[in-house]
Amino acid sequence: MGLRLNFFMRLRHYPFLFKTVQSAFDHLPMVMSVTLHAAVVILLTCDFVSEKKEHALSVPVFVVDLSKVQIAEMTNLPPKLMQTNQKKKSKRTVNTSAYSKASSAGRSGSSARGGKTGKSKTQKTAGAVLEKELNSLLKDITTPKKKDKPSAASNSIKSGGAGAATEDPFKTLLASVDGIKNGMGYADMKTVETDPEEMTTEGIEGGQGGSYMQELSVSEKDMIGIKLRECWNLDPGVRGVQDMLIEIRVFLNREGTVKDVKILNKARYNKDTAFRSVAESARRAVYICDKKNAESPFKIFPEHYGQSYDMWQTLLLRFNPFDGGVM
Amino acid sequence: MKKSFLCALFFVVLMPFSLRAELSIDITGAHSEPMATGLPVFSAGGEQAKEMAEKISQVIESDLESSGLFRILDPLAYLQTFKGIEDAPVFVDWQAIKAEALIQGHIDYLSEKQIRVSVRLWDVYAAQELYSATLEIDNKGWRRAAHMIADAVYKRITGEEGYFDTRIVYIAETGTPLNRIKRLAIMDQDGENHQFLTDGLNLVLTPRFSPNMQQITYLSFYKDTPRVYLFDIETGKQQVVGDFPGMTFAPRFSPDGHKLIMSMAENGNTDIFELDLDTRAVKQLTNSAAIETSPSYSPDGKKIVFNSDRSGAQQLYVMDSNGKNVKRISFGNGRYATPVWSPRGDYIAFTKMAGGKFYIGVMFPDGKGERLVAEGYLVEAPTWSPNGRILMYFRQEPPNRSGIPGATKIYAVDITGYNERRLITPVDASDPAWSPLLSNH
Repeated sequence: MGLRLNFFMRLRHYPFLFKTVQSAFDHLPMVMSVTLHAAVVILLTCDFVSEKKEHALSVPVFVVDLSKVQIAEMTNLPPKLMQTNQKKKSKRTVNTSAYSKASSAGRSGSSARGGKTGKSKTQKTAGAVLEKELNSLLKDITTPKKKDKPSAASNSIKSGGAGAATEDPFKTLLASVDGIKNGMGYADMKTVETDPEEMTTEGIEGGQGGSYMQELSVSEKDMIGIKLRECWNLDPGVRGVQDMLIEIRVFLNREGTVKDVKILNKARYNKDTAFRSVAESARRAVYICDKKNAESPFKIFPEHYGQSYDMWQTLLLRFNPFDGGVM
Repeated sequence: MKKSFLCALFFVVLMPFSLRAELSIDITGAHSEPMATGLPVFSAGGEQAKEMAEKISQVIESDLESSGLFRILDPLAYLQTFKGIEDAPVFVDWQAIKAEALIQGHIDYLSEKQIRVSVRLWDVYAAQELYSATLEIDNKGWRRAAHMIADAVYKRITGEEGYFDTRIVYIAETGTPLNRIKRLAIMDQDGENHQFLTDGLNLVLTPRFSPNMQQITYLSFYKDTPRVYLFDIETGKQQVVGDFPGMTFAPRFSPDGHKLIMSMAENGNTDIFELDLDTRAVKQLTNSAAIETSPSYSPDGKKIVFNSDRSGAQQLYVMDSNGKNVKRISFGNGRYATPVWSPRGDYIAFTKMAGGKFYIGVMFPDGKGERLVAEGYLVEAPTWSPNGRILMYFRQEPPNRSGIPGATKIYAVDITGYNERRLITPVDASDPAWSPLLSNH
């Protein structure tokens, strides 16, 4: 606690920084969010290094109320294994996941708290221990607020630092929303109490704990798009083809084969024969790709994301005839 | 209260993010190649029907392949044979040879002269029937029946009307370069059923079909005076259109067939006139000192495209059908001539002369998107297929070393610029004009 106060006291020595940050916060929430986060992380890192010799703990920027919950290990383990582990440990877990897949590997508790990131079990364990220690250290800080609004306190994130005490909490929330909108990875800043039965869809597997959309890399999505493009045989002379966008929903089996294909633009499909022609060619492309077996673009799902079937059992494909030209 | 409202608002804002989002993938662009199609010879009920089945299958295959949009797979690769129209396709067999579509048919003789043609079109990969039909026709009309089936397949796959059940009227050229005989001739779009309509005593040029298919209008030099004539296909009668003081040329029907638009030259000035075929009333649409000719109606009849040298060079202009709101649409290098509005309204085809070459091109009605689809020593007189998908024109080869002009031949090309093919005619051919779809009349 002393260390944390020490940090805030240090920040008070930089009034200009605070004013600048607050001004940006008022006018540019997103910029403020990014800037503030970056600045605080740097300051924390410096602080951590300087205090390390005294065997002290660093202070997190965002403090999660952990008084009533236990920390779930952020891991790449399959969900069922996770579930087993969870059953052994606790019935109530908290998902502190704040980042997308890109950082999920290095998100093992310690990473969000200024410690080193890594995937090894040792580091995760150290992170969990660190959080528990933090939890006990911070109890006194969070308790008063929790008394006022106990339910809100257990599900919210409180900005650290003296400045935060006077800051409108709604602005912080808006900043978080902006961060989510802009794909900054703060997709789930809330502390969520999760039933163990729901753990099958948590963490890296998408579901409530994270978004599968963020799990599939851009290059993987591109690869699927390119393969489908190769399967799409389009007559470029169709009337009005330059203004068409075909949306198709594909239903996949667990083994990555196509179960069904639905053309979504039904109204235009039934009315416009040229559109119907292009839509059917797009549907045909899905089936043709599916028949390529091992080369099917959909095989990536069972091969790399087999445990998160619920997130890829349906896909929305948008076929745009002319943006990419016709080969 | 305020905080409660803010919390509620917060959850409302965050709600969409907490819901599971469906994975979406964008596919931009495609490849283009003829659609692999299985077309086994139609099954037949009896020996007589078998012969007919082979002929009809052959015409359908020829039609579809000529469009450049279909590639009929080699029958030797087929794994399934059909015994009747009720036989269900084994889709995996057709998928194995990468057929995307399958045409299944059956022929029966109902009487000595009456045949029944049944056809089914399948999407092989979606395992769906796309189209089915049964025709009962006189066996002498088997070729038209085949064209109609090809049209139906084309329409179901491409979403646009077909053009196989159509005819072409053109100028058949014979004789020496100094004594050229030009006659009106007509044939099916695939070159079959060819016949000459005029005897060649008078020079004829620029024939055009009327929308009702019964008449052809053209320019003929009678006693060395060029006049616009109407030719009735059924009766063979021809009559001069109107009594104009000057020479008339470049005629074309309005979309409803009740009007004729043409150029008339008088005292060295050429303007555009409209003739009401019912009342024979004449209306002058342009009035300038420039040469204005080659008018063509838009499919809705509200606009007219023509070429004029009012800017100093021959360029394309669009005006309302009453002659107002004239607007220039071509601004490229070179000269533009013989504009023709597409039947589907999206393009205007033209002949362009630039850099010592001729080109056939298309542009949008506002003049944008100019695209050249054919070029040559002399390419001229584009005419649209009734579905607005194919352009037909004639091409003349350069003269030989002796200065004798090269032969003139008719070609067709897809508006994408692909699949240029020559139309086989018994003699040299120029000035083609495409009829509307016969089955629509």
